Amino acid sequence: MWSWSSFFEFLVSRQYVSGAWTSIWLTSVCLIMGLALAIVLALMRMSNNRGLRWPSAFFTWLFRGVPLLVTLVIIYTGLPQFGIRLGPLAAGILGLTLNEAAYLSEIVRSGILSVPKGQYEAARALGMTPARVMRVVVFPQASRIIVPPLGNAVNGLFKTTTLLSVVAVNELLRNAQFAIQINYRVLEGLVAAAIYYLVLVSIWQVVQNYIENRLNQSYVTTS
Amino acid sequence: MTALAAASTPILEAIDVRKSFGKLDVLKGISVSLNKGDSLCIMGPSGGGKSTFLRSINCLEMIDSGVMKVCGEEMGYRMAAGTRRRLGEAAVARQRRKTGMVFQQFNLFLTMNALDNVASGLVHVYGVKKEQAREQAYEQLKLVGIADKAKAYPIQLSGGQQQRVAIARALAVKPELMLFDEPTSALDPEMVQEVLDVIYSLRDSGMTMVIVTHEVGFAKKAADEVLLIADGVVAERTSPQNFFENPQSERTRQFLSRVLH
Ligand SMILES: Nc1ncnc2c1ncn2[C@@H]1O[C@H](COP(=O)(O)OP(=O)(O)OP(=O)(O)O)[C@@H](O)[C@H]1O
Ligand SMILES: [Mg+2]
Repeated sequence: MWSWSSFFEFLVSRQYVSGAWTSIWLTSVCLIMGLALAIVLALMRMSNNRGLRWPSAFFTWLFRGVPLLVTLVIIYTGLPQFGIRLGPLAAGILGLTLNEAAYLSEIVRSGILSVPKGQYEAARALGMTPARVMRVVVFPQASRIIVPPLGNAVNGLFKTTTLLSVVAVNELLRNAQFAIQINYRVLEGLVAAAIYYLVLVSIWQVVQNYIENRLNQSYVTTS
Repeated sequence: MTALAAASTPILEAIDVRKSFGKLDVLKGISVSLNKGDSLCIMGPSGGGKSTFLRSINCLEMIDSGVMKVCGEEMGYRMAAGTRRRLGEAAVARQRRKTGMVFQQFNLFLTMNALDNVASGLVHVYGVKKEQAREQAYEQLKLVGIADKAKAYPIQLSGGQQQRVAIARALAVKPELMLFDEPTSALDPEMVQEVLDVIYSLRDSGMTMVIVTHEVGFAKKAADEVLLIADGVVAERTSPQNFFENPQSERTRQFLSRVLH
């Protein structure tokens, strides 16, 4: 029988709230580090230098090919055999960041490639240095292309944090599992967790729409 | 260098400039010099190398051999301990401050409004404070007659308006030499005049200019001299009057017979 009272107990329990908080900051940390790495990877991939292009292509190929779960288990249980011992949180963040960077680098690259050549030339002709050209002209335009798929990636990343439960990170799903083991209300416990994910993903959707509208501002034809 | 010597240094000096794209020899030894305050129109058949030459003046294309000097300084190279060294992109960027360029397709920065486009060189090349740069940019927009559109984004402007903003953007950083690559070719006919008027007044103010154009009337009015580039060489360089009425080169005659009707 479905028990409303235990369902609500789960919803407001400390474990759920702190687990959700962990999932949120894990998403933020892995997103920021993953995106930074992705920009580096994308720029390397587009460079004229083969010594930069090749490692970037290899990295992307590797982490897009290996399932994240396998990556996580290798980092958490395999690396200690080589004397590299990472705690659950460090292992989880590392695996998730590397995996995310591989996906995001393709998104970043297609965004940068969407900027017309004339935009670079106008900036260079003015006397801007290469770094300025990227920061002032290319990235703002690329971000308009990058943000929609990036927003979807954030959504996916948030839900993917559940995988970190296998390397003993106390995110929302793992905390839910602990809570369920106390009274065996499996369905109520999991539905409560699902509602957390749904609500947080929906809030993110609102934020994403706002950002997309902001970035489209200069492309609207009526002033 | 004395003030007198500086005054007589040509603003632009190209010596035997050559450039190939793979097997295609586009520039086959072009020499041109241009003094301060003069305006030179470059004409010639399509694919003859006009744009390539113009773009090699500010190093958007790197030349294979020859020398390109702007205000006496060799573009893309520096002399160090008696040897000629290729400059890095950041140093070339600094050299480009001497030139301003206007493109056929305007190439305004799409995420900035007209005012910020014009201010962009001051802010991002010279490090001027944003507010101060915007004030100067606004004055520049007034000069091209488009201050009322300061807040408009490029996509909200007509082609003629965009090109005037693009000219203002190039002028805002006070270049010594303006480069125009077919500034009116992408415009609807009714917008050509407003852009030409800006360029005429620029010439009257004493700006040194190199203008690639297909428009005969424009070349006649704007140029102190006309240069014909065909097949990667200079076929003729003379006054507009001689060029259109009494051309010496067979190449020029061929070219004019095609464009004059
Ligand atoms: N980046 C490039 N790579 C390869 N070939 C190029 C490149 N840029 C120009 N070319 C070639 O060089 C030749 C000269 O081109 P350029 O654009 O200088 O001619 P143009 O005189 O400006 O012609 P138009 O009047 O059509 O603008 C053309 O055959 C062109 O296809
Ligand atoms: Mg051309």
